[in-house]
Amino acid sequence: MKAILENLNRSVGVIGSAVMTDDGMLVTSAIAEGHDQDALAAIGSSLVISLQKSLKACRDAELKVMTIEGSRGKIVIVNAGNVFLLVITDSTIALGPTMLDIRSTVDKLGKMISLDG
Amino acid sequence: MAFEGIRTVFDAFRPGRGARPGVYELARKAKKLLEDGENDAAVAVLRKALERFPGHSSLEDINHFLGQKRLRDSLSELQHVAEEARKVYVRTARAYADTDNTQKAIDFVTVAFRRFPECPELHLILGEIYLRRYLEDRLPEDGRRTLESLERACRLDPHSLLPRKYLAGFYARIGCFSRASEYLAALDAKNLDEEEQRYIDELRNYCLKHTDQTGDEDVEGCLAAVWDRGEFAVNCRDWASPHPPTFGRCDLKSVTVPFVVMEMAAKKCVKLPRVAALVAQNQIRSKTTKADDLELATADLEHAVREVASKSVEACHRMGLGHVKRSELKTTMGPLSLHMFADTWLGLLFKPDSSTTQVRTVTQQCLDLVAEGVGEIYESDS
Repeated sequence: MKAILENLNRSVGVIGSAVMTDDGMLVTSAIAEGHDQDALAAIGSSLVISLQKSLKACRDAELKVMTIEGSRGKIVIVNAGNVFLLVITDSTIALGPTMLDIRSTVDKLGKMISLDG
Repeated sequence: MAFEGIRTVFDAFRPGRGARPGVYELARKAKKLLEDGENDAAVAVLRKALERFPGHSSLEDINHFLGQKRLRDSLSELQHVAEEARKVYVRTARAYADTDNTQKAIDFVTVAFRRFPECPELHLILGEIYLRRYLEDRLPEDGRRTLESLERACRLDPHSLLPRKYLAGFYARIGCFSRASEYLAALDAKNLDEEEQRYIDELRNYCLKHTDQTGDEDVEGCLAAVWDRGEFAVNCRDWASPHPPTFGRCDLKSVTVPFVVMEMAAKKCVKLPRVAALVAQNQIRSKTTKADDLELATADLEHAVREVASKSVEACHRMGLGHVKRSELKTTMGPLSLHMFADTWLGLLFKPDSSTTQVRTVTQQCLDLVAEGVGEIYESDS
């Protein structure tokens, strides 16, 4: 799984990525040097848990994709079935092409999880 | 003349015989009114009585008592008002601190100190602002100010946990291990959760092992050493560090969208195609404008929007990704698009089957309406 994330991290503008379960447990992560891996895990889990919880209250809604655009970077969270993929990119890239890489990573993760299951 | 005086005395001793009430009756009446809490009526009776019997000891006693009582009541009312005002100042200072507008927060707290120099909460808020800044930039000057504010907060409120916790973490981070262990020991007596207590015990052991036995720790030296090294003596991660600012963007101070503008724009935007609801929010208020066919509970939607806003800001802040411009969610209840301004934000919920192009186009129209509203306000101001 880490290899899949490292492959994703080679895409233009991607700084780091992580996979976490829907209850916020970090499965694995890969992040460029100089960035805080623990912070990525903590943020990812806090985001996933609180979003799931507040959306659940809205007539049982579920998160599919979330993008947060900051002035110095972007965060993308994609629901990949039983797990969530969190990706951090720099602010300069257009998300369109990167989303294709993210989608393909989600597919790979989905296949891997279904094989494991 | 002497006869008049005798008659006055005589009158005073014969109440209720058709003549005007005597001094004792008046005193009794005033006392009764006072006991019944009718202060104004008591004052009126007393004033009239004193006109007739100036300097009479019974009346003067009541007068003195009444004066004291009114003073006491006024003082207690004043104290109550002052306490209420203090709470408002603390709340406002906290709101400024939470909008990440550090300078404005510091200015406000400085003004508040003129009225409430001994307020521990205000010192704590200022300490948190400087601590947050120190943990980011490690400037010794911010460190000194952090210490000054937090130690004052501790002194003014000997039972408060938070400033002690911050100080313990601060001293550990800069390498003043002896002071850190003192504060960590003080935390022992507080009711902390098990995990935090374990962390504190570990940190305390570490600090005790590394305490400099040779003499007093030099805080200035430690602050300078952290600055030179560019890193802390101990990495306490998030422990004993203030929460990041919950809302707002300091780099977009010019883009202030008053709440009322959002409310007005929301009324127009809800008529646009595919729009299900608009939520205008700031830290205190929240207003939802829904399309007629939306069945979602307002409170749930507002809570979700607030969560998305605060978590987005927190995530960007912690990952060093700057300030949030917007957050976009695709959910099973429909796309949700969130746009943040200086201290307000607007959430747009679309109908479930809306396409990305529809969402983008309508969102832009909504933002244009908000911008028009802001423009109108600035024009009328100028």
